[in-house]
Amino acid sequence: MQAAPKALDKPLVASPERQQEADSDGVLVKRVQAGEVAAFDTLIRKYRERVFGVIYNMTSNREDAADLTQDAFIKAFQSINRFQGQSSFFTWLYRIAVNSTLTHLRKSRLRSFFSFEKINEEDKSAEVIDKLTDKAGVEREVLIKELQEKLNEAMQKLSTKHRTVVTLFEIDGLSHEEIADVVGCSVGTVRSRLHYAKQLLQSELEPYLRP
Amino acid sequence: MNESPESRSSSPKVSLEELLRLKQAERPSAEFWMQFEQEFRTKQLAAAVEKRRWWDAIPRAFARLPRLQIPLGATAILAVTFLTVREYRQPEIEPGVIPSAPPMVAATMADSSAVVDEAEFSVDSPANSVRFPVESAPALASIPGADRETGSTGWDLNELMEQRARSSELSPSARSIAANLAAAAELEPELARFIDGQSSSLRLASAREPLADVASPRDVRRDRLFAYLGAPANTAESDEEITVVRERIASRLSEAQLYDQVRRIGGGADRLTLKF
Repeated sequence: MQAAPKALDKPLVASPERQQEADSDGVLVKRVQAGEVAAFDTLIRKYRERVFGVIYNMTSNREDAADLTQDAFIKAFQSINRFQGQSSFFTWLYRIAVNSTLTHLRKSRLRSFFSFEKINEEDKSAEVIDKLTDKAGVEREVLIKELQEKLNEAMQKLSTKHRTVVTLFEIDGLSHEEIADVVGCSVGTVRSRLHYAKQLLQSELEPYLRP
Repeated sequence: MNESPESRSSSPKVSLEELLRLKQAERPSAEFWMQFEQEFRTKQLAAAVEKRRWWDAIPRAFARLPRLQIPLGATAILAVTFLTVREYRQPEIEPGVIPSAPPMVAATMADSSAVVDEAEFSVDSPANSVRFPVESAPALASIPGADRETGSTGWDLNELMEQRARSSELSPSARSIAANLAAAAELEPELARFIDGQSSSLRLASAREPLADVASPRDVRRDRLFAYLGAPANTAESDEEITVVRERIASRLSEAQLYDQVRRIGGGADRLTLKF
């Protein structure tokens, strides 16, 4: 019997940090609703990288991702008075971003092209790359570039629904409940999509993975 | 199994999750965010200046009422069904009861000033009372099939009685008219005879097809051609021969040619000219 994916072992309840974050966002949102526009700038600075990351990994195009991130923040600003705090601000913002991206992907399905950000070799990524190769210099750079291309290629082979779930779970670290809230489906659907998407990625990236 | 030490040392040692974590490291530089902020400010200002169209609010208004969608839809379907059934339901007519005249007929009757004959009949029933001015032209004109000049309905009374018997197949207004006329016939036999006579004469008139009087363009053109050809004053040919010649010419010409030929053929008292 196949073992359950490791990622499914993640806790499904919102962490205390996430709760604290949501509370501070709530205060900022109330200030924006009261007319303090500068408070929205704080929210933008706080979430722009994460929102950009989600959109970038869904589109694999940095220019489109930048435009869609800006649009998502503008939409959020325009409709912030309708935000009633039933979900956390970041879930609401993610929902706007994901929906805009899905609409964009549907419209530009036939004319998609990719442009990538450079991988920053930080602690975690450097570790992974070290595991993959013991070479340095130009050869290492070539391997990183190849790896990046293969990863994006594999991601683009997924359907938009599966790509969204993988991005939100594996790359952005959202819980299943949060993803269900953002995407608008059940937790079970999120799990099944995640499982299926990872199987596909596994087969696509087989040469790079541990047997 | 048969892997060499070299290939074993180069075998991958990462999991899918670790590999996907590399995607987190794909981050834009600080300059990108400066440019991003500039562009965002511009877009924000443009969005603030741009007027929002009123119809953009419609889907949002409906989106706020997701719980009411099913009850509202069900109510709408029920309302449409009720109206449809009420509109097309055929009211039952009890024998001996004459329904009131349709509103349009009643209104016309009330406005009528040119009443030819002041004789009136009334039919009283427990439910309705109808006063019907006999041969009131405007009133009758509003009845389908009625002739304004003759004042006749153009219907045979026997036929009407039969129609009354088959009342379930007729529309409510037709049944109402038939019932009124039948009641009038029972009360006023003279009126019945008059109407009967009028209707038979009208039937004869209406039996003739009106379009039969209208000549087709083809016939008109043929007549015109024959008129051009039909003045051979000096010839000794008989009428029969002339007719044969005419028919021969006409049969050899197509419609288009016939039309052209009429203009190209010139006729005089003693000559016939053809233009080519």
